[in-house]
Amino acid sequence: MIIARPTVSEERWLVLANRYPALRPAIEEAGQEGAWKATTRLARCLGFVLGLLGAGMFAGVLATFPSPWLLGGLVTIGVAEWLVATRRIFHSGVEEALYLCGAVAVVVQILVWNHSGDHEEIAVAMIATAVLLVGWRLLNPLFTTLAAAGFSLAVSAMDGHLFDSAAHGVEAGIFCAVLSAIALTLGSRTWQRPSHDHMLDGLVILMPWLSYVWLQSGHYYGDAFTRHAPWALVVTCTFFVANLLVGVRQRQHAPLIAALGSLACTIHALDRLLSWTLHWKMMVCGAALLIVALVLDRWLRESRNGITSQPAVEPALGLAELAGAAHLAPAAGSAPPEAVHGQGGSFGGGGASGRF
Amino acid sequence: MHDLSAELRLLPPEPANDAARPQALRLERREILSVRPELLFALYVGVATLVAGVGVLIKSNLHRIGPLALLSGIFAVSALCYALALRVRRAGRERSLGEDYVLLLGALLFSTAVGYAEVKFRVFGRAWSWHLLWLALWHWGSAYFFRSKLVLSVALTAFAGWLGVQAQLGALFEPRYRLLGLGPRALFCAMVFYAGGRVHVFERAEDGGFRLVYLQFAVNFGFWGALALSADPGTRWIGAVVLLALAFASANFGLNERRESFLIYAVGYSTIGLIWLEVLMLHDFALASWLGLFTVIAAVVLLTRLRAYLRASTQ
Repeated sequence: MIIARPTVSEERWLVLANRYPALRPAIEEAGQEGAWKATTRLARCLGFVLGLLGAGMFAGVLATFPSPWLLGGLVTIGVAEWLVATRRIFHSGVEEALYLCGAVAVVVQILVWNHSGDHEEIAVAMIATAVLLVGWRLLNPLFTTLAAAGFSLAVSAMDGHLFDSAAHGVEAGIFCAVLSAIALTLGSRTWQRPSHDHMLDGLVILMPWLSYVWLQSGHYYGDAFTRHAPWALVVTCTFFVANLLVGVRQRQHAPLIAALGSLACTIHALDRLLSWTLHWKMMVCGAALLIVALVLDRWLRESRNGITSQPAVEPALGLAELAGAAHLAPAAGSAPPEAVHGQGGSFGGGGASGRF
Repeated sequence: MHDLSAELRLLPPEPANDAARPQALRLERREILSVRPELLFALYVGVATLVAGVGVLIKSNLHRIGPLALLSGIFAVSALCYALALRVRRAGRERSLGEDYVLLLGALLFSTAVGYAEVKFRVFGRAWSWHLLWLALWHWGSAYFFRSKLVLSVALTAFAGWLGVQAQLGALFEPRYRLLGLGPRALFCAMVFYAGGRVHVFERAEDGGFRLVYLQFAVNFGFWGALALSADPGTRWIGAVVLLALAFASANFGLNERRESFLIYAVGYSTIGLIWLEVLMLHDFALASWLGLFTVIAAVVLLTRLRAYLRASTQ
């Protein structure tokens, strides 16, 4: 069976055109991308939303049909395959959303037929497998990473029920840690397909954080926090150091991002050892992070062993930056109460909302 | 890891490529690594956590700490941040990424202090929301003084806040009277921001890109206002017309200026708005689903065509 997707060479050229917009005309002129049409990140996001909307509307159309999940799932998978095979779209978002919804719908129909309510771990594992297959089919790193997270959820629910106890949180934590270590090791090799490399990146970034969450999960269920918390701290500190070293030595972004996540987990773990009030913890952590980032930004203004804080390519208007700043800004609010009681109401962002 | 330097070397030598290719080759061979995205994330999280911490401090210590002590502390830190930006400006150099975020922290702490002072001392009395206008003016002035797009975003959001506009889904259903509801107020905001963008019509990109900041805010607030109008049964048709007119204008601007984000807004907002209208107006579930499905298909086709046109026009 021939699966319609870009060859290794075509994918490499597609990624190259996306990564360096200034070189795109020359790359397209070289004509090595085949007939595949790639898209930008923003358009891919909209495509994904449209795909989800389309799948939702189609579900509404099929509401009165017998076995609607199976029928809808198979049709949406068929449409996604048709889009990939005939329209030659790659990572456009639409086919990804359709494929994902279709695969999950088929699995849901099977689960509905089997009535496997007592074994939720099997249901989760089946859905995760479907997501993994879609990720592999469409070379989508986000889906493969989500599938890994789903498998860890299935491991944690080995006693048959989700979220009602933390009996297997440790096993799930170990599963994530092992997966992360394997991904970190494999990520150091050179991969021909950029998407395979990105799949490993996804695991490197998410799994240490998830491992920490599972190891600490006993606390949220009221279990003895002291038993596993030190191990969670050790694991997250180990990943912080390992990721930082690998990221700096091999000049990779994913381990550095993972190190940032591990740092947040380490702070969360240490937070329990301190009896400070919440606002002091937040202010000290925020200030410390800000100062470290400022020092690094200044120190790396000149390239140090090839590592720099200067932009690698010409920076575009940062929509995410603007949205982030706007999110922190004073928001509209209602009139302040007649007398200030010091409790109730809300307070956030710039805090000038009059809603203390 | 992966390395695309082999493909880069295959590109034909052209003057247009020669400027970008050496840098791309160095990046692919990992001779350089820019940690700017990681630093940007750390700076944003640092600023957000610090400002939220100050907010919690105020909320939980309203009675324990004197207002003057609190205000003095926050204003002092804010002044320090502004002083750093001032020092950079006097030195006649560009602010670095970190210094940009320190300035943003100063602006946000200033907002926090002013908001707290308003609640505590009721400077404006019943017209309490006017402090947001003064804040907007302060941030607007400092954004121009320091040439900061981040502070300009804060100023525009504060201005919208003064008008009672916030981009939250729940706010679309607010039970206020029609003429001064969220829809008209958001559209008024959009018009003001658009006028701001017009002032910068001859701006060079290196002047700070204020025009695009204004236009990004204008288009988003405009669409938000149109969606709010569509949510109200009395203004539903006006909302639909405004939504489509804005979608046309945004797509036209995107094509003329070669800005893909405006095409995305045009297709995204109009699709969501139309599906919403179909669901609200048709009481037949199956018919609404069919219409919604056709709307999504049309949106996907339109998006593909617009992007193809944009790509063809840029080559």
